[in-house]
Amino acid sequence: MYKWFLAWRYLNTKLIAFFGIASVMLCVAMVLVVLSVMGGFLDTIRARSRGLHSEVVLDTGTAQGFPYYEEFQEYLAQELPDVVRISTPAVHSYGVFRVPATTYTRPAKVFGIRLDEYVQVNDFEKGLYYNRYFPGATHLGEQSMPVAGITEDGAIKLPEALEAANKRWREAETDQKILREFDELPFEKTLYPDVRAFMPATRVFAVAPGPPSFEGPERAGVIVGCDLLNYRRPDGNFDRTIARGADIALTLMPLSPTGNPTGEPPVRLPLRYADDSRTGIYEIDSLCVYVDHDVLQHQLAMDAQPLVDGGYTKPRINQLLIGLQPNADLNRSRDRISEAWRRFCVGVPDLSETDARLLANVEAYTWEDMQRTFIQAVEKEKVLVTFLFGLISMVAIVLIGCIFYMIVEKKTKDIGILKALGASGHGVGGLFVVYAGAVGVVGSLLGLFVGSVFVWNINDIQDLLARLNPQLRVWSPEVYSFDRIPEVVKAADAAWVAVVAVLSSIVGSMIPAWIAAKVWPVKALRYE
Amino acid sequence: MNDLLRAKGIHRTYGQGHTEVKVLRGVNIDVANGEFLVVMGASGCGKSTLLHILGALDAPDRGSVEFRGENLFQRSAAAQGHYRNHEIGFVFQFYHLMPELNVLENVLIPRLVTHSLWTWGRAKQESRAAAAQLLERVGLSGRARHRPNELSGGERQRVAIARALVNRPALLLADEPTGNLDEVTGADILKLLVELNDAGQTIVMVTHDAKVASQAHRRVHLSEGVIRETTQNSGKEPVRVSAARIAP
Repeated sequence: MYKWFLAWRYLNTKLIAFFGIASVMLCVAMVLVVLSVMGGFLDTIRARSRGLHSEVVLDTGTAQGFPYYEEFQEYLAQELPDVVRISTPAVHSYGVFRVPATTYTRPAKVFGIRLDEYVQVNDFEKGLYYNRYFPGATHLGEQSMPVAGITEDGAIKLPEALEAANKRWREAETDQKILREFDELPFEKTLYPDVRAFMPATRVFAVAPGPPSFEGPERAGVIVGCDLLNYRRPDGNFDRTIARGADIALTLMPLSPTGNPTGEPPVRLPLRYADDSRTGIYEIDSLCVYVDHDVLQHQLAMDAQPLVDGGYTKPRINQLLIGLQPNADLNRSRDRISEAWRRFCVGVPDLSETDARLLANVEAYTWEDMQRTFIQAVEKEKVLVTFLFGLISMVAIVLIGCIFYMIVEKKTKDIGILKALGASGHGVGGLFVVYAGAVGVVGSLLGLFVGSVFVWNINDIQDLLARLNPQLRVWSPEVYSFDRIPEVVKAADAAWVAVVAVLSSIVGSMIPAWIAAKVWPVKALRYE
Repeated sequence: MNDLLRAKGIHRTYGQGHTEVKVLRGVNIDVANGEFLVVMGASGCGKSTLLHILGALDAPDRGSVEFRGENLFQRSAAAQGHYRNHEIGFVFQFYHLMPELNVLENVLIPRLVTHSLWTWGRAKQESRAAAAQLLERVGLSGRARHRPNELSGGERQRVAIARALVNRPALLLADEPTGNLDEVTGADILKLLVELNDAGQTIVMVTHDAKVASQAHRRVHLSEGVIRETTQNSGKEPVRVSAARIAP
């Protein structure tokens, strides 16, 4: 009993113990922060990867894509109704993104999607900015620029379709705080036809005297990655400087089925800014734009093209995105779809040599397969960084060893007294092990608290530092893909870190405890 | 025969650098139940070494110490620990109280050594009562919550005596218990020890103070590593109490 009693008493009264507690606390906090941030990083990549793609993707990995996708969609619907819930085609290419009003240009990866189907196979809809406040108003079809009107009493009114959409959102939104925020940050106006906002704002619409209207020629809509067009503030929100519905131009270069340029000059595709999209992955949000599948397929000459013999080529896509039935096993579904694709290819009649080569390149991937290289790299990085910080934390073991050696030296007389009163060597050694364990427990609990509070507020801390000095912004979205540092502490991680810290404290105290056990009581009692 | 403790042919040599110091060279000593025995001698003659060997804190190079007929040094380390915890109580010249603990807790330490975490729950109440009773007996019931640094030298020694007695030992080993105290305080402590002996407590005390030694039943003089002289104090007879123990 004396081991527990004295360990508790030493813990309360010995100043030196607080140095041990402080070292354990700092190590626990440090490892917890690293583990949480890296773990959060990995989880975010997984979650985002899951939401980026469909569950299964049929992909060639080539720029010219593959044909016969419509036939395969029908084949899938007939053959695997228990597996496939929905499938939707996608084409993609690279081009030059341009805002004519500002002559701002950027290279871009252009995706052709069927928006209504695309949002059913992944989380794309969640990242659409205007669609959140004006649900259902974002589309990629032909559209003019919405221009808000100014009523007689000076109020700004959007066209009826947008006002109705906003009303739907208001009625559905239960969080009064979000509604209040929307009203406190009214959209910034810009005078039509000058599409440049007066100042950066969160929502930008053109405004003209008179009733609200849609102005300008109808053009296909484009959804733009939020980092491609907008300025990101230090708090992570975006300043939008381009009014919704503004002109956007994309310059594209079509390829033939053999992968050669078609010989036509590059295509300039006029579009209208319909919304911006935020996946949270910087590489995507700073590069990708989304237009209607049929428009892009046509512009890239991937639709049915006339042949000299009077026939037509088969339309091509780059990916077939497949959403699975609820509870369908991911890997098994991929395998079944892959088998279905092989069977389908065998049955395609009159297959040309070029098309046969394109079909042969097609493979079925799960979303995990698509991101495996990246996810594995981050997993290894997490293990490596945790190992390195864990190694650094081993310093705590040495520190605990030093501190306990000093404590044993200082408590030599107490050791002699205890032995004179009948305590065994093992018992006295155990006292210091229990004491170290108590230091470990207290240090770990404090470390978990400090580390957790730090992780939970890590973005605020970074924002504060960045306000003091922009150079102090350590989390760069360009480097780490995500605009915000993960701020979730997992209970399992915290428990592991705490257990290892307590064990480390005990290990650190072993040599001093052994020395204490071996103290010769006669010598210790002459210690005066 | 009523010997509680019997030491035979005790030799003990300490190494000091390249030389050896033969501290004890064949000490023979018997302690009877209820006896108050004083070991006298000049400083450095080996009195404390002998006491440590009798208390199994140190082991002799040669010779044996029998407690109730059983050789202490043929016992296991655990059994020797049990002997120190249950059968003897140590009182030191410099008190050796634990500064982090209050008076009551210092007295309870031997009980805490006796019990495990699991058995303490049952023993706690009785142990605290025993410690409180002993503190009352040594006149410190009002100082139970005080720390050792808040006590005088005499009070500290009283706490040390209470601690030595809390497990009701058969033998109290006192190493110059008055050596660090002024004359009046030393006399008080001595009086307490005599009272304890009168109640049946067997005591072996080391001192070089003849006045203190005069209170014992018997004095032995240690010189050059052996017992040179044994003196029976007139009019002092040990109280013969079988397996005498001081009830706290």
